[in-house]
This record gives sequence, structure tokens and C-alpha cells, in this order.
Amino acid sequence: MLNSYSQEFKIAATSLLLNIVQKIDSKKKKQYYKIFQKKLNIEPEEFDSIKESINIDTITINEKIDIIRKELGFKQFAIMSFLMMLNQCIILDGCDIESYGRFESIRDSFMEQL
Amino acid sequence: MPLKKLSILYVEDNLETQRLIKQILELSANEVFVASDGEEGLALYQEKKPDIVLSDICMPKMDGLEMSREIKKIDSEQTIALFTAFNDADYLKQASELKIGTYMLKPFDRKQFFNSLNYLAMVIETKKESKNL
Repeated sequence: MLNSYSQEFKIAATSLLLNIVQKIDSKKKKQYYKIFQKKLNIEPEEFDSIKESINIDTITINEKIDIIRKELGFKQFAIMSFLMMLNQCIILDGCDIESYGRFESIRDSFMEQL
Repeated sequence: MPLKKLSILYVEDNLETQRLIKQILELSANEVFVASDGEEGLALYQEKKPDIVLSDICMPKMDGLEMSREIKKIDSEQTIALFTAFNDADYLKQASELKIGTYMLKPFDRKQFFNSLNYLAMVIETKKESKNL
């Protein structure tokens, strides 16, 4: 999945994570850094910078999903890898049931189009 | 990977729920194995090695989490999904520690249930593809 992704994609991916998790536990921040660095090639500074600068409601969840699908070439393997990464973040978050419900809804939107 | 190709172990102590879900699963999966508690589930897992383990959490003898812990000792990559409700926060925390990432939220919703099963089937396929890269 490691690639050179566009800024638009990085913002959409980070923003989508924040739609799900909403509040990142500072104790777990390094683990989120690691996942985003490894899977999406987003450096910790970049992750923080995006997180601080975006308003997650500026674009809708469906628009973010469209940006991500397009950047991943509408390929099932890449999209599933992305969803598995989001799923990994949910586990990291301690799996609050409300976060899981939000993940499920986003996951299903992606999967409807696979 | 279509669900039709996969085998599922379903563990549930409530016999009425067990019958209902078993019927639904049999229409969608290749093989369905059913157990009524964690002990029985673990024994059946060792015998059948299903692709997916689907389990309730609260059960007599051995609960779903304890069974999942034992299964993960056998195969840390085993795909497991747990049925859970909004008030199961402590269980969810323990499940997260076991790296269980898929839940079937209660009350039961047929569409959501199939979405989650299809997701699991595709996760299994993606992991297989990933190993071949």
C-alpha cells in the first residue's frame, strides 16, 4: 500500500479516521503515527499538521470516500487494505462501540462500490 | 472471496438464536459448524479449522473471549467476530487486546450481519493476496 499519495488523499484519509475515532488518545498517538506512516506514507509531522489544520466537516464523508477510492484506482485489494488499516485503528482505539458503528457505516459505503 | 467458499464456526448458547442464525449462515457459507459454549466451540475449532469464528460473548463453561484467547494461541491470524451489545464495554476492551476487529452489533440486524460477514470474507481474501505479493 506504500505509495506516494496526493495531499488531497492524505487529508481525506486522516479526516476519515477523525470522523471515526473523533478524539485521539494522546497515549496512543505514536501507534497511530506508526500505522499512518507504514500504510499511507504519512509522516508523524504531516499527520499532526493535517489533524490540526482540517475541519473534518468541510467535505462530506462520501466525498472523502470518493477521493480515497479514486486515488486507490478503484482497486479492491487497495481499498480493502485501506479498510483493514482503519479497522486496525478502531482496535487501537479500544473499540468504543460508537466508534465501531461509525467505522461500520464507512466500511459499508466503501464496500457497496466494490 | 465469496462467502459461499468459506466455512464458519458459530458459537451461541441461546438455542433459539442459534437455530435462527444457523439457518441464515447455511444459506450463505460453504460449511457451518455450531457449538453451544466456548469449550465445545474450542474443541470444534481444533477439529474443523474454520475460516471464520463467529461467537457470542456471554456463555456458560467458557465465554466467547476465553475461547477466542485460546484460539488465538493456536492461530494468531484466525478471523474471529463477536456478537456484542452497547453495554459490553469491558468485554470490548478485552477483545481489542486480543486484536479481534469485527463485531456483530446487537440487536441483530440482518443487513448489517451480512455486510460484516462479506467484509470478513474479503479480509480473508486480501490477506491471502497479500501473502502472495
